[in-house]
Amino acid sequence: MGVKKLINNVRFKTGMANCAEYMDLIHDVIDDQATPDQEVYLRRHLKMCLKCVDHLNLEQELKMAIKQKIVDRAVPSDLAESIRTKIENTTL
Amino acid sequence: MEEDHTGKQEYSEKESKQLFEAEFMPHLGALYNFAFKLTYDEDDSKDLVQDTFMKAYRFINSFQRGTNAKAWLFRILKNSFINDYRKKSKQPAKVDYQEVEGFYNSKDTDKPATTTDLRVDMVKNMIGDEITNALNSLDVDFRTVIILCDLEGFTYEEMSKILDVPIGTVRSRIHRARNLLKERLSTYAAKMGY
Repeated sequence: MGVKKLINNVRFKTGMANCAEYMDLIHDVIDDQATPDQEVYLRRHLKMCLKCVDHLNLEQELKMAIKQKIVDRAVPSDLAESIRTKIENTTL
Repeated sequence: MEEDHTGKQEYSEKESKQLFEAEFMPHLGALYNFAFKLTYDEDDSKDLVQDTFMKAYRFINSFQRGTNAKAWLFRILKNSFINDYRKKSKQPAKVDYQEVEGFYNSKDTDKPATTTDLRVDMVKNMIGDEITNALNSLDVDFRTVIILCDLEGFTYEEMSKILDVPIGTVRSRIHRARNLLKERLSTYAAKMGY
């Protein structure tokens, strides 16, 4: 195995690449706030960095869990009516 | 409807009521749940939501038909919570994160390590109550950004308007909130032997 390939392998396994700049981008991407170019830039880094792949997967899973597992409370049955009554009796 | 030179509308009484019903009332559920996650109390949540709708109606001429009613209502509710409910609350005074945010975001501050032992499979195995409890354990400023971003799906720009802070602050607050949430979930997972 060539030295270059070995270094790339080591980087891939340990995430030795400078990942700090990619942390913000990971959040931007999972929140759909990144531009297409930024997303390409991140994906290119992910091909080389297992640590950032893990980080992205965890952030995505957490976001999905928040969305899917936190249950909405039912709105009290009298609330809508009470608001409408108040509005009806209000003159601007 | 007439529009004055400041961009304010002049809705008639009938138009105002129609607009209120069509644009504001569909967001009742989202607002009630937001209020409950801020106050943890059903009566307080109802008061906060009613107060929000009354203010929205009173200032309806400032609202432009077709713009983001949900974000506008969330902003009113958040301000009502900070100005009214928090002052009345008997909870011990907490440090408002906004007051110390500059410190946390300054380049001279060493950012705390963000690595946790939390793994994807642990999150997958967690039930809603565990995630809800972890979220509820966060300070209100962090809880709010998670609710707005992950539960309600607001963009960073919309959150910036709702919270009245720059987008950079929204971004850093979300990161910090998520790291805190992961820490809480990680501690919980360890206790449960995941």
